[in-house]
Amino acid sequence: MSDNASDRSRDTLVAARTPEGIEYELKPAGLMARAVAYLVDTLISGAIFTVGAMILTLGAKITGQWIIYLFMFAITWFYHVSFEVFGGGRTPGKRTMGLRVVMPDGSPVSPGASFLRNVLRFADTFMSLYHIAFLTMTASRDFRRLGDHAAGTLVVYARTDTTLDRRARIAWPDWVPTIQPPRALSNRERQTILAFARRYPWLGLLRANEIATGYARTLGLSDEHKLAPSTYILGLARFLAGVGQ
Amino acid sequence: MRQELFVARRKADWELAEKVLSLSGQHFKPVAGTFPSLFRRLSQDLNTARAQAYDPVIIEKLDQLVLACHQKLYGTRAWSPAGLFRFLVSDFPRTLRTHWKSFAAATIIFYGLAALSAGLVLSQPESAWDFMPPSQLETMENMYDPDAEHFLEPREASGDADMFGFYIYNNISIAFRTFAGGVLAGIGSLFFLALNGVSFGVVAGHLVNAGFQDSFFPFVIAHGSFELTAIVISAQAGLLLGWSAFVTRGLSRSESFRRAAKPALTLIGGAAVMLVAAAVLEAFWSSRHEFPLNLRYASGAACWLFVAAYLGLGGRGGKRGKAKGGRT
Repeated sequence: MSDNASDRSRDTLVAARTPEGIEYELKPAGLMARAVAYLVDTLISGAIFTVGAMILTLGAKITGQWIIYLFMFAITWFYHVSFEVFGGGRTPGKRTMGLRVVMPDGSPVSPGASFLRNVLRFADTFMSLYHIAFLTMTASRDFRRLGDHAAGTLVVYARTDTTLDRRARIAWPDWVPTIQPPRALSNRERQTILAFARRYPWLGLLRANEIATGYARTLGLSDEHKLAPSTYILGLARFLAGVGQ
Repeated sequence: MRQELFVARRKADWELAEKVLSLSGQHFKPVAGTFPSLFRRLSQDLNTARAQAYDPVIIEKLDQLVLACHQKLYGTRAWSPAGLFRFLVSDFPRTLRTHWKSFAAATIIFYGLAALSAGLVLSQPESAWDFMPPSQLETMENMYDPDAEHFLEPREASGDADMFGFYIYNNISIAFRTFAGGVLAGIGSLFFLALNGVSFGVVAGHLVNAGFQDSFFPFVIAHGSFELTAIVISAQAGLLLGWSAFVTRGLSRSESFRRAAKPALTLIGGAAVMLVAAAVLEAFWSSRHEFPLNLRYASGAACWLFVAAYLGLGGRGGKRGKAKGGRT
């Protein structure tokens, strides 16, 4: 679809193709979301590390100290990897931010790729503070740090919560007439009109009219309609969505 | 089909998909058979919604559903002990031989610097203090002094196990850092490789000067075969990554990176396994100074022979040209 293709050149969306030949869009997550996720993960792994080391130290008289070293080794290098591999690409931090590590075709991150991107974290955080990751992420279109480049992975938004469900139904006011568009509309125009209808209840009448005025004219609103601009666009949206027919 | 009608008709499947996605393990099995067709219906819905230019929120929701289903559908991965065995017996040594140039480079850097610094310390004993702080040299002297207390009685078994844990933690962490540093244009790998080479040379030279060679060399010779080689290999893996950032062979830098990462991953995985072997030897065999010197030297030589044979011959004689990652 040409509309989507031009969106991609401006936006940071990445097209993913499945083996079934289906194309869908991945939204790479930016710096802040990932920084917060990393902070959460650091706190959690720190807590696991501290508590685990305390318990194991208490038991060290029986088991010996080797188990503490193995535990430290596992947490240091495999905290992220194990959550990414066994948790569907989501560490606890990524889960809180609604993020997921995926391969560029959207399939689950492989153990090898997960290990690579996480072992290279050492280089990305070289001399602390992630500034190498910061530079490489801002320099790439899909926010990849060095580890992501080498492993060929993406960190994308993947919400599984229900916020979208709650927004999924548009409230259609009864008093709005259904209006047939005066001309054929492009896909982009249709989506703009539908998006307006969705946002209408939160806009307030004044603001809604302000936004709609110019656009309604280009869509064929004239004085004969005797309608507010926002009402006119809502009417078009009703027609497009097939409400009241 | 108009949007509202479309939503009304297809909503049931979307809700079903969300329910199925939340199932796992045993609960998922009964519906697993119908899952692929559900996935195809959802994908069709996504295409319809896009083609008809429906509300962007609906498209976004379907996008997320398709992504989640795709993850679920391709989420199970086959893993077998046979695969691990093949990795160790043939993939790893083959990859190493395919990339013999970088291995040779890392080897020359490591042993060259070790020999240079050892030579320097042997000819000018006081230069050891230029490389290392006195406290560290003293610790080394203590560790290998045949008259020190800890040499008089054998270490307890629990002490061996503790050291094993420590060697795993310490040595494999060093290997991982050496490898990861390579992504910064190879500099990190070179740094750690040089650091390890020089300190090995200095310590060896210094201990020979102190007359402790008969406690030092029998100690390092056996596990050194695995450990030193593994450190060289981890640096080699890092150098491969760093090299690929400069020599892209017409690929984008990111793609060049990704291709070099494949053999690098095999190499660092193999190096980690070798370090586990080294830790076992170092903890449970190397410190057995109650055994006769000849036996310890002989076992050390056998270890070196084994490592050489393993890396030089492992995976030969199978089908050609199947080394993982190919030539870069």
